[in-house]
This record gives sequence, structure tokens and C-alpha cells, in this order.
Amino acid sequence: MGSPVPKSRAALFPSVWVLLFSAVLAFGIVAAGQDTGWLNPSQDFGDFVFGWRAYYDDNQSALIWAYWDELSHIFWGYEFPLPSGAVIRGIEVRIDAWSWRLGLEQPLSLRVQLSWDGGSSWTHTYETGPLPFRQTTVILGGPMDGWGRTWRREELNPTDFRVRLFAYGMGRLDWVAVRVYFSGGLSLALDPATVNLGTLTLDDYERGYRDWDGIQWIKLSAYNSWALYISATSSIWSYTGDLPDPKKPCGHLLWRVLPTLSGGVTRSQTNFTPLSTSEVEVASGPAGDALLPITFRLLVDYDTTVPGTYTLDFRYTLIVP
Amino acid sequence: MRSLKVLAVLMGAVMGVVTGLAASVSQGSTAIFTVPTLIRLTVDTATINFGSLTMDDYDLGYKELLGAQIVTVWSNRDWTLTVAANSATWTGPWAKPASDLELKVASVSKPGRVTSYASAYFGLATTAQDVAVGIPGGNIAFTMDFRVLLDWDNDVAGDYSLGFTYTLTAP
Repeated sequence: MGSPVPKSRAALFPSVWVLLFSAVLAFGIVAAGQDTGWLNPSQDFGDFVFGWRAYYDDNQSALIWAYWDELSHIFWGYEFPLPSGAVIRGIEVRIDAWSWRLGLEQPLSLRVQLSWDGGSSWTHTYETGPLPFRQTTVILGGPMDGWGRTWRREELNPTDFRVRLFAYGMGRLDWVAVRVYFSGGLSLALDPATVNLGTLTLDDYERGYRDWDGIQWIKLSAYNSWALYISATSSIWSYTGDLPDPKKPCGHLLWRVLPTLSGGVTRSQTNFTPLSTSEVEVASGPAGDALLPITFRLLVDYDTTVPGTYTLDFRYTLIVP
Repeated sequence: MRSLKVLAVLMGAVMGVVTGLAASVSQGSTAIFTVPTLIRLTVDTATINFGSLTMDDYDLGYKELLGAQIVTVWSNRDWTLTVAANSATWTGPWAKPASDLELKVASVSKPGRVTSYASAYFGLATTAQDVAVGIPGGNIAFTMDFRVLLDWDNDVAGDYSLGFTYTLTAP
């Protein structure tokens, strides 16, 4: 059942369409929903030695010495960032482990189960092994695999959700991570959250502005029709430098939505619009997932763009009326 | 009337449920950029050629070239434009002093971006002298007039040249 870690890279080309396509790849296929990313446990109990060393993907590892009997160990404390209304599609468990031998011990084999009620009940079992004598990543379950049951969002909490490992043989365990796939709900993700516009040049001053096409992607999921708004948290940019604060207005940052390949958007603002402290609608759409590429334009002039560093906080709000 | 009240209560309850279903989620974001000190200085021609002098030039005491050079400045912070001779004397038949080359600003394209400028002729020296001082701006063009001083006693026939350098500073 074990499978290698999937690896994908989106090639970068100057075309906006290629950027759009790349972003879709980077986020995953929109229709397939979202995932939590790999989550770490924070508690453990059982037979493994130094079980806490399997909390993180690092250079520390728990010791498993199950030479005569099968040993078991339970990990929990996973914090699931699941939005309200999310529908759980699948669960993956990632095991980073390897066989380790002092003498004639058997190589390590593992069986894995999940619990949704704090360890009273357990799902069916996935097995992996014997593992090689070099660190290996094994992923059990999958994006559409509920391990034999349908999960409710409420069951995925740090106390009730648990991972139990049965081990036979001798080995090391570096990481026991969990990833949950979900759809629906109400979620909003930004990539990146910090938009680094870089360093300006004199050409930007002469042009009077500088554009960054698709520099930020908004991925949202809503269980009902939705509207997305944007607003600045301050009317001026925060300035750090050796000159008097030029009080650059937040409206010098303009935004617009690039046409998108993905569906799920009924209406979007495709004209450059100045950022303001009032909420302005970015886009709206029906229930489901949507991916919005945002282009920013910075107005550059000699009076309000003096040497220094500028930051501006702004906020997206996704509303289901 | 009683049924109307019941209906009103029911509608209110339904609206309350609908209002209760409204949900929102927010994500904060930050935009950041950096502006270094940026300056640019250009001249439309590097050589000021006074050509061959005449006796009338000697009698007048100088030869003048009006609008012989355009110096253009870009700076995103307060700036100073200076000029200095590269040597104390001209190269030529005798050690003609650099101060015999005079210049001044004839006109400015964006006077609102210039605090002060040299509107009267001054002689070059090896130490920097202000041509203009200004505030941040771009494409600020100075049209320069030049004058070379002449006298019959010293300026013997021959070829003369003097290098000089503009410097734009944004402290």
C-alpha cells in the first residue's frame, strides 16, 4: 500500500497563461479540493523508545526494537486547520522510517490504524514493510481514502484523532505525519501571504508605476455562493528609512483579477482598482472552489516614493451571505 | 390579525436563522517594497567645441556658446549638481587657467524641482562648485551656456583643451 512521495514542479515561463496553469498545478487540481499539508503530532504513548523524536521531520528518530513481540505506539495531538463546513475526502499518514540492525534482528515492518474517538475504536489496517536499511518515506491512505469510513470534521481534533503503529522488527522512526484532504467549507488561502514587490528602479519612476502580474493567488472554497472583499488596514504605507515619512497613500497600490482558467467565478474586478480602507468586492461566485490570480500595480512618484522600505497590510474577507 | 402576528413571528425567526448562517473568513496579507537611492546624470554632448577664434573674439574678451550642452538629472532624494575642472590649467601653448572657462545655467525644464541654480557665469576650478541644488524629480534638464575668456597678451595661437566633470550627489 505504500507509495513514494509525489513530487511535481511547475515550469516557469513568462506567459501569463503558463503562470496560470502553473499556479493551478501548484495548488493542486481545484476540483479535487484542498489539503491541510503535513501535520505533526504532539503527544505519544507506547512501546517505542523516544517516541517524541517522531514528531518532526528532522534528524532525530524514535527507536523500535520489536524483536520478539509486536510492539505498538500511539501518536496524537494533530492540529487540523479545517474550515467550518469542510467535507473530509481522505486521509494520508506519512511514515519516515527505516530498518536498523545491530545483530540478526528482522527488518522493520509496520501496520497502521486510525482512531476517531480517542483510541476506543480503530479503522482497518494498512501495512508496509519490510523497510529498507535507508530512510524511506511511505504514504498510506490517499486523497479519497477514508480508511474504511466517512469522517466528520469534528472527529479530526487533537484529542480524538490518533494514529496507532504496530511494529515488528528493528528500526528507526523519524516522522509520523498526517495530511487530510477536504472540500467545501469556507476557506481562504493566499499564496504568498506576503507580496514582495522587490526593489524599484528609476525606470519605474519614469513610467509612473510598476506591475506584477499574478503575483498573488487566492484559493477559496465556499459551501454557498460567496463574495470576496479586499481592504487596506491602514490609509498609508508604513515607511522605514532615513527621510521624513512621505505618507504614501494605500491607494497607490492597485489590484485587479487576472482572467482565470478555473471556473467558479461569476464576477470579478478585472480593472485596476486602488486599495482603500473600505472593503471593495474582488470577485463573487457560486458554491465551490475558485482560484484567483491577483495583479498588483504600484504607483511610483518622486514625492511619495522616497528611498526606504514600505509595507502595507491588507486583508481579504470571504463572505457567504 | 392573530394569524398575521404569527406569520410575522415566523418570518422573523426564519430571517434570524438565515442571518445566523452568514459566515466569513479573513486572511491578512502584506505588500512590501524597497526603494534604494536612485540617481542618474546624462549630458547630451560631452564636448564643447568653441571652434576657431577670431580677432573679434579677442577684442570682445571672450567667446560664448549659448545652449551648448544639456545636462539632465534624475534623483529620488534631494540632490546637488556640481562641476569641477579636471586640472588647474588648459592643455595648450601656455598654462591658461581653468577659470577662463565659464559656464552658467541658461534654463531649467522643471523649475519646481530645483531649489537654486547658477544663473550667472562662474569660472571653473578644480574644486567642485554648485551648478544646481534640487528636490527629488526626474528628467530635470539644464541648458548650459559656456564662455571662454580671451586676451591678446596670453592666449597665443594653438590648440587648447580642458576637461571638466559634472557630479550628481544625493546625500
